[in-house]
Amino acid sequence: MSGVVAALAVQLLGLICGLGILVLAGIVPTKAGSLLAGAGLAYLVGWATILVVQSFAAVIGLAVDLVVPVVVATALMLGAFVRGSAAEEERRGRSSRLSKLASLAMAAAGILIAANILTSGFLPVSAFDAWAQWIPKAEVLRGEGLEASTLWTNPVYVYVNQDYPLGLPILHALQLDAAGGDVTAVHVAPWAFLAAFTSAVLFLLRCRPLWAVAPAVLCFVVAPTVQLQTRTVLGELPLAVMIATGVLLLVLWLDERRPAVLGLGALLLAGAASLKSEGAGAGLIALIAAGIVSWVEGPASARKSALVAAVAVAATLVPWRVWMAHHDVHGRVVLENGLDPGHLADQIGRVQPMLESFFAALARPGENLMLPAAALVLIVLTVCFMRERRSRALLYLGVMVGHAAVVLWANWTSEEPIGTYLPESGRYLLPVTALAAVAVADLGSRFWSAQSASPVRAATMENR
Amino acid sequence: MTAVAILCAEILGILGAGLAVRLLVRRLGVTVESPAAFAAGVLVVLALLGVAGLADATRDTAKAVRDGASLSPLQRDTAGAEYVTSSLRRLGVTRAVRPIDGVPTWIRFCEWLRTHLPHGARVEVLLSARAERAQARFWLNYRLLPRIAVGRSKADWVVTFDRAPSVSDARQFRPGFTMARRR
Repeated sequence: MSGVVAALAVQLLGLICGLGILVLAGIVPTKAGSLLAGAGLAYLVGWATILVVQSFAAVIGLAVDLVVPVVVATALMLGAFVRGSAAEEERRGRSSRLSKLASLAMAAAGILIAANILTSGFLPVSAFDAWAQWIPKAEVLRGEGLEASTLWTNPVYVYVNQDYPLGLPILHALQLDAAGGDVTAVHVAPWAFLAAFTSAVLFLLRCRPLWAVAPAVLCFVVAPTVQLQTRTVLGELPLAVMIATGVLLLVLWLDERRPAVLGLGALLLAGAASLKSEGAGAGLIALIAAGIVSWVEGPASARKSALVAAVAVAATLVPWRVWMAHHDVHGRVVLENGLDPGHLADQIGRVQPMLESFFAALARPGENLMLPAAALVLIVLTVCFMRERRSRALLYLGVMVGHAAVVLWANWTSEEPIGTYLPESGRYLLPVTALAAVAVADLGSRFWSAQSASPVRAATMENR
Repeated sequence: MTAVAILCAEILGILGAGLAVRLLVRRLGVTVESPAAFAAGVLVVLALLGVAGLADATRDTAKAVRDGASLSPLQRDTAGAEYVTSSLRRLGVTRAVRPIDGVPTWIRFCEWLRTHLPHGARVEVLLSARAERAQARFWLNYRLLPRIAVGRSKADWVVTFDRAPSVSDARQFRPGFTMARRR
């Protein structure tokens, strides 16, 4: 249990970093109520920052311990304290606090999640990938830093996906470091990420009717496929919530064109890219899609901003790729194979079972509580009936399909037995389910915001 | 039913809920545009599923915690090894899975190694072909950390698993399960 308490303390580093960034970006003012309302978004943004910075620090030879996160958190907090000003939100006349009902909903979710966090010390690390890959990487990073010969070029550890980015092992390593190696501590982060996601979506959509936002968020939190991931300590859950919240921020940026909102979205997508290889694919697809929308809708400055954000996210991938090339580290998915038509043609037989498996994973109502089907319906409704917002619906659809395509491509080109991947489709597609939840919360609530403002509604109210 | 058919059935169900909301609000005398009514249908379906799912999730969490709390510290630390134990049993590596005080020999061996090998040691792990097929190496590599598994040329310790020791002065845990200093 002491390990869990220590890991909880580590989560505060992400929160402090993120609050500093939100204050500096003018998203929340330095007032207790507003800081509390933005805590979930702050946690996600803070961890994205820590993972990107610590990955870079590890590549240049710094130790993977609590020093870098503490320095980053302190610097950001001091910066926020010095700058501390009224946020842009309030200058626009919008409160950055939650309504009482939303606060109550968040408190209820918080109680459920806190209970899970406090009892996570009882849970064993039993998922194969967790003990075979992620915890060993975390232990080695914690003990010896990023030393290529220990694990990344060591042929004995060829099964640990040596080319995967360092974000998830760093997340585990920092918790293990605080907990003195108590491995049960790593169960805290998935619940904290889930709590942060709930809070972040309610915060970002706080101007919409709560009853229209909450159902999708609740469904995501309690969906069996998500619940399972909270106990496996694998990378999919943090990846899913970072991608989904990042894409929601991009959509809100398309509405408001505030550079700070785009910056936060890009930061979350960079965090996702640091967690897993497929995170880079989803992040770049999202930014390119947002760039296309801004290209069509203008103005020119928005196009430039989208381009800068995409380049910045891509740039965060460079240090790890350079380190890999320098040390001749290879992965099981070889990029050249994936671009070789001959290789893809030879492996074409893998596509149909993967597609069937994907559809089965998305269609099982007992696993994801019909979120993908609900998102599909709302996307079609938006495209047909809310023309000025259809680009937002298509952005969600594009990233969902794009992420699934990246996973499909990686498995298509792989030479591992196909049977290894098929049972894992639900896990690989967790970001699609998270995007579906965000799409439903955003698009569903848009219909009701539009309804409240519509002439029909106004006429009805007048007749009464 | 195929996955696509299930997905179509879900979409039809959601649209049906939207239609029901549309008719209901009309009966109540409230004017709501059709798309908004269908959107409300989607949200009603998800709200019902979410509330039902909340009960299931709470029950599942309670069960996971109960199951976890009933484990001893050793069982909790080695729960992930069940997969390897069942593979070893299936492949007939009987001396590895024979229990010692209720815990398979090979897991006891791993824990014994943890108390005898120094932190940071470079260890060569030699397994029998069957143990290799059962992926026992993955668990050993995990459980021995922060000792690093390496090839022969870089090893200062050697461990054998379900096979005869490669050096004469090896310390034996059980026949076939040994460790020795290489240099």
